[in-house]
Amino acid sequence: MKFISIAFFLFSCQNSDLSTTKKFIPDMYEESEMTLLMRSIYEENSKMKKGIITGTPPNRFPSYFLNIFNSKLTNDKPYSEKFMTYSKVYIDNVRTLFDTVSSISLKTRYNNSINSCIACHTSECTGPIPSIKKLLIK
Amino acid sequence: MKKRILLLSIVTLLVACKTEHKKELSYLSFGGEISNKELLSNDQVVETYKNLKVGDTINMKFSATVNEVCQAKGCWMLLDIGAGEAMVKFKDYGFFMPKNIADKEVIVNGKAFVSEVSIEEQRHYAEDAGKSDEEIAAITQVKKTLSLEADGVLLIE
Repeated sequence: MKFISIAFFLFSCQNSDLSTTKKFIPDMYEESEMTLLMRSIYEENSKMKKGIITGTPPNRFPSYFLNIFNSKLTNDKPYSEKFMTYSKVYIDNVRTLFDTVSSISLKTRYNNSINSCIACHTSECTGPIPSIKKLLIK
Repeated sequence: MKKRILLLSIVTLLVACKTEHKKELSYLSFGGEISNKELLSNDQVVETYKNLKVGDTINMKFSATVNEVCQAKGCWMLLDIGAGEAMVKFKDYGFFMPKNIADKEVIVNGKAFVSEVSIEEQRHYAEDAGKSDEEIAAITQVKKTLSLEADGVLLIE
């Protein structure tokens, strides 16, 4: 009798401890080539901004910026016409930073390049705009 | 004696098995570190948003259920705040949320504001959310949205 009672007790209470909760596995975004490139471009621009402010402007066009025309987008999304147009405008604007005979101030040329990023993101992907605005030189 | 043992067993069983196994909530943290304390009630959240004008910002921390998440990157989420939805984005685009957290509970901390979202931007979000071409084309009006720029999020597992 004692044995039956103890066995009954143990069996019953074991059931309540059986946890059926599944472990949550977060489905995180894997950065695309374009995201990684954009991050590098952002860092490069931060350096340029600092350099322009402190009087040590950039002296060479960062050629990897041209990867903007062939880096893979998230989910292999195709490039839109707008994206290609804006990218070209952006690259042209960055090139002006290395124009040693320009009559336009370096600060203006730099801000023009950043504004072309903002214009593109306004139509393509608005999320990073607040961060990009921080790159502008006031 | 046998009866006593049996009775004692049954009583013990009932008491022991009725004991609640208190569930400890576990959180996954995203962005800056935040606590799960001092949360605004849902009524306070609704009231605060009601009184906000375009251009105002106010710090808020509250919990809510996730209605929808950006399926491209997890770079925004829509929270159910009872009287509507709040669009949450993440400070400096510095962190993203998992894409599979619809219907989960989160605690968000950040700057609340109201804004007007252009048709173009709404269509972009609809595209990110995997809406059909018809649904995207049906977006034809500027929308006033309740927004939050979160600097930290706790996801209740």
